[in-house]
Amino acid sequence: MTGTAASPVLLDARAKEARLVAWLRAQRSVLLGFSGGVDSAYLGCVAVAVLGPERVLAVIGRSPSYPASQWAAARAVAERFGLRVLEVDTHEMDDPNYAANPANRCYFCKSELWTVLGTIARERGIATILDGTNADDLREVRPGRRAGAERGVHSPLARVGLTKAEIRLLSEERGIPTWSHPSSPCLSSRLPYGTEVTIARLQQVERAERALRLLGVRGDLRVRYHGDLARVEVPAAEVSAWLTSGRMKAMRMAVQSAGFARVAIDLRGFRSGSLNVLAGVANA
Amino acid sequence: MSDALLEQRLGAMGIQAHVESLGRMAVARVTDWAVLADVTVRDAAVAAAAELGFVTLALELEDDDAGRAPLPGC
Repeated sequence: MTGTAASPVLLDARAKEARLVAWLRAQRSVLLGFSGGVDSAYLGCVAVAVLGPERVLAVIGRSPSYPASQWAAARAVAERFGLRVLEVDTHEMDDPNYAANPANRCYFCKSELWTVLGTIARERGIATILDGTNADDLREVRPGRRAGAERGVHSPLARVGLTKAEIRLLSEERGIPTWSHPSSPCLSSRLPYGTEVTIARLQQVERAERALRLLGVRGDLRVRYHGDLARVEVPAAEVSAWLTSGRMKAMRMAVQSAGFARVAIDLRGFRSGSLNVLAGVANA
Repeated sequence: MSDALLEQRLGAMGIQAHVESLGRMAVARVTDWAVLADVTVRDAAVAAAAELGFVTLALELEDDDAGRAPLPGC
């Protein structure tokens, strides 16, 4: 448990959680789009606690843009908290609108995901479909939200105003291991808009990030794809620690082993959505 | 974007660099990169890049054995 139980921040988060519990209790059964990230893991665990395992189905949409490490985290959480999981393949890569990687790429991905999950929900008589959108997400550039809204997907975490920080706090309180996991958006987010999304490029990025994790990079990490150049973002507070001859060489070799010819470390450190800024669709 | 202008600005801070712009990103090859471990120097370099329109500044991790040409003026 973090801090003291009387912390105003925790009390506020608990009040929001109480509203979430009340909302969930009013549902007959729910299908959750489940990635195993901080938000959907928390929502799934609360849903199971409220509705019981028989009335909650967590569906993982698997595709080349879904990191293997994230899949492992999802399965581990599900097993520990009694979350029923169904895995389905999604085929957003086959959609030329997605593969072309426009600024609203996420819309096409989520359209595919929610179409597949909507079919599953209808077949199983599940009336309510949920995603893990949180209150912070509402302030960011998230084209994928529209796809969910068009298909009647509910976002109860955002509905009750839970922020990412609060979800982490409540997750820790419930013993959900994802409370401390870094955010892990899909691998396509490492490719600048307009750069075609291919399986080979996604695998290259995933190999590079895996190699850097093995080197000891903790917390937020992104390998941004810029053709033959990889731009590595590590937490800003850790940039200085990587600027030694030995660690720079290790970082370069790790990333080059994934197939990049050139490697650069971003001197600003990790920023969520930094490629949005480069593309001019978000502010620096 | 001006690679040369950023090189001048960095040079004025004592950072000898060769800058290559990739869109709105600047990638720098720096001889004495160790100075960038100082967060104050690093922040100043990033700020200089931002003033010239670059949204970020990245330090290229060079292969010492690659036999690249030395930086101009180095």
